[in-house]
Amino acid sequence: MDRGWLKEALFVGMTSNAFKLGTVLSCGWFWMRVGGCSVLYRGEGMEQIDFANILAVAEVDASEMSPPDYVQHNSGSTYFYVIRRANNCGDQEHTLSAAVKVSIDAGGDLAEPGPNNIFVVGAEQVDGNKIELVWYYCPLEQKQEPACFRIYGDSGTGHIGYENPITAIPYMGRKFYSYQSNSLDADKYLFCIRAEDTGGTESDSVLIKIQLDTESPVAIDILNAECV
Amino acid sequence: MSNRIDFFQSTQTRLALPAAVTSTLLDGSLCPFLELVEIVRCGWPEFSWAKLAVNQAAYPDASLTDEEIETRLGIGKSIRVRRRFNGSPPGVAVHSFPVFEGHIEVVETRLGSDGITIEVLAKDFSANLKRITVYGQRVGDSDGSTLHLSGTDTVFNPDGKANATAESIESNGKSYKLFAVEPSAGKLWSYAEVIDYLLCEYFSDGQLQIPGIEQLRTLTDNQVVRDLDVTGLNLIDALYRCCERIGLEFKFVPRPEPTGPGQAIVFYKSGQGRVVELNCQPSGEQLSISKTDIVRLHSRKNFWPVTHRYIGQGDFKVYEATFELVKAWDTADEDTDYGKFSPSTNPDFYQVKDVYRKWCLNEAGDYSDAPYNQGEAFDFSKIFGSSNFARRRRRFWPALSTDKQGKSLGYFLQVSFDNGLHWWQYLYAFNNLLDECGVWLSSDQLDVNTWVAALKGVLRFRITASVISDERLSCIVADGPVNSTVPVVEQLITVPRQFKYRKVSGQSIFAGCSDETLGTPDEIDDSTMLYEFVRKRAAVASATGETASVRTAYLALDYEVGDKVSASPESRDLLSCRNNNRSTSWIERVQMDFRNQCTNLRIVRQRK
Repeated sequence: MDRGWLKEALFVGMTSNAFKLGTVLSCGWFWMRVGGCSVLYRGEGMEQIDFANILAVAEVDASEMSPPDYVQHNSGSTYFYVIRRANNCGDQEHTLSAAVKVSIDAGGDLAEPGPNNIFVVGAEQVDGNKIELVWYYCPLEQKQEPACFRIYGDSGTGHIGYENPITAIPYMGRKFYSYQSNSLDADKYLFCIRAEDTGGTESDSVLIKIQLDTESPVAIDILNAECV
Repeated sequence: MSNRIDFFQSTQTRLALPAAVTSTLLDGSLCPFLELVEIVRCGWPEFSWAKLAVNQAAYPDASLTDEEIETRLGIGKSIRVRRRFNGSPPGVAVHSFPVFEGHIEVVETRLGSDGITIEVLAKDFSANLKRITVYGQRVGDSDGSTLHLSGTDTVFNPDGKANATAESIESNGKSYKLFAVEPSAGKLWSYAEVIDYLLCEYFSDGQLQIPGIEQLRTLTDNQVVRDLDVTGLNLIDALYRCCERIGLEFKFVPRPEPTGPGQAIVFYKSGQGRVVELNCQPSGEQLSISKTDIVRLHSRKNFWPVTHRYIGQGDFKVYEATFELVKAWDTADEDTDYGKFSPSTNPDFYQVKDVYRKWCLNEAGDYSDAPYNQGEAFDFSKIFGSSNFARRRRRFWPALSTDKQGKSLGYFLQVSFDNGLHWWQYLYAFNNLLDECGVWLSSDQLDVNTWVAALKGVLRFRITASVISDERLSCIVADGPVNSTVPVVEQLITVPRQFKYRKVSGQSIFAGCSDETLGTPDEIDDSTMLYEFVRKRAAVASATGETASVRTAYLALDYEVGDKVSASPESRDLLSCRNNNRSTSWIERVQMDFRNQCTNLRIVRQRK
């Protein structure tokens, strides 16, 4: 709990924050919002929320809150908004539980939410010279359900061709997924897996580097031991 | 104007809880076919383990055969269970943290009419410690060299005597205290140093994270060890024997850091860790999952309150004194024939073997009556400081007074040829009797001075030696009211090897002696140490007042062994956390049941 408004108004005079909270000078400072209120803040990251600068104030049970018009939303940026409540004495809570992330795309519109990134991927050499990729998808708080996973590869060139996915694995819920490649030569390979929703929005890339050895390790001689 | 203050707290109103999301990694890579059945967290002797079952339903594409699965589930392979969570709200980035870390200890296969079932039991690092046997001593010299003596017993401060090196010595890349080559120049082991020795001696770096010596010193209150023998125990039992004396417990936990050892050994004191709330709403309220954790409870209250009176008993007290001896033979057998009292000149010597030769204390009154008539039995009350002793036979032990080299003077026998006016050390052979306090002059023929004085009736002997009393070093500590309506249970703690009492009494000719030919007497008084020991034992050994089994409403993965339990003011006080401020409740065992999606807790309540 914090009574920042009181200190600010007493020692700095009428400030922008005090004004937004409705604080007035009348033979002393009084907290005017006896029913409590909700206060809106913004920052470029959850650790960088500017709590010194109140953007907007609304009733404590307001279901909507808009930032003022002068607040800019630049293209290709991401902003985090946090709402905190103040009670009838002006004490403010210290939580980050009411937060929202706003991503603006290059066109200045709200960025389309995509599926989550895939979780923990592993690769294994199977069946001679084939590569098997195993990964897990977790729908934890996902904004968009994926339709499929697209697998990209570099065919040993070092450059992944994102225009031509190798294959698409359909999404079937929270489970393990796997992809098995064709037979490959000994080389260094790059693979990329992305989750894609029905609108074609892809998640971030998850890259896997694989060094494939086609030769079996040299067999060791079996030692003989006998009693003498 | 109102003086009411509202406190905000996030309230969870949705009732639907997602099933716990965990992933299992086998040897570092995702293992799709293993399904978690349960995870148990516990202290000694169970420790943590996880049971997993093979279930291919989650990974049908793999089409692994049972043989292939059995091959992959190699004994000793690491098993990691991690919980996934959103790492950057309000965005989405799936992160994970470890819930369990261990290795495959048992693979159980059952083939029956239902097909094949394969279950895996993974245990934490304690299973590795159980396979290590503690024996021998790592001995360090002042020049930094070390040596493992496998034939010696692993005893720390035997009989309370120091046997640790003065400084830490580098061994196998680690610096820790070792056993001293020459115990007389050694320092006393502290419990922190013993734990450090056991952990450093038997592990190489990188297997297990162990706490630093400073942390251990703080946890053990820098207590000094007294006679701790761990020879032949496995490493877990050795650590337990060390820790239980000072009320310390330990467990193995997975480390969240990606680098370094996967597990850490954590030493802790029950009920002194973090506080967790277990709440249950009063009946009639609308169910809120923010306010109710407990869905099932079974508690058993024992008879309470009971005062426990701990009686600590060390070794029997030993006193040195100078004892005047009496004639222990029938005076009717006395004679003036010199040859009669020598075994080489008298074939019937056995008939008069005690005459002039056997001198006793008469502590049991054996020589009070005829034909000896040596007066009353010896009274030890001036030596022992109390009349609380039995009139029974004892024996002499070597004196506590020492010579310049620090060696005991042994049985210091003195003779007087003038009826006690002057005393000389008796330099001829004699035997100390083992079944009573006394000596027997064992030279072939008695020397002339002794013989003449004996004939004159002015021969007297006295011996300076020590005697064991009937009282032990003891102290009493109670953890509650005594002599009240509360019943008192006495508990005896007998630790004779650890706490001793030896004193040169005022009745000894060496008491307060400033003779430069004498060294420091071998006196010891462990009364204070015994009191500290019993006090600490009483503090940690409080009887369990209540044991409760609690089932939570959902699968909670974050309860830890040793967590202190409390309840919110809005909750029903089912565990008596609020109305009983003289007790502490803590979690003793956590069982996370993945099949039934709940967590079972065993909670114990003990008097503070």
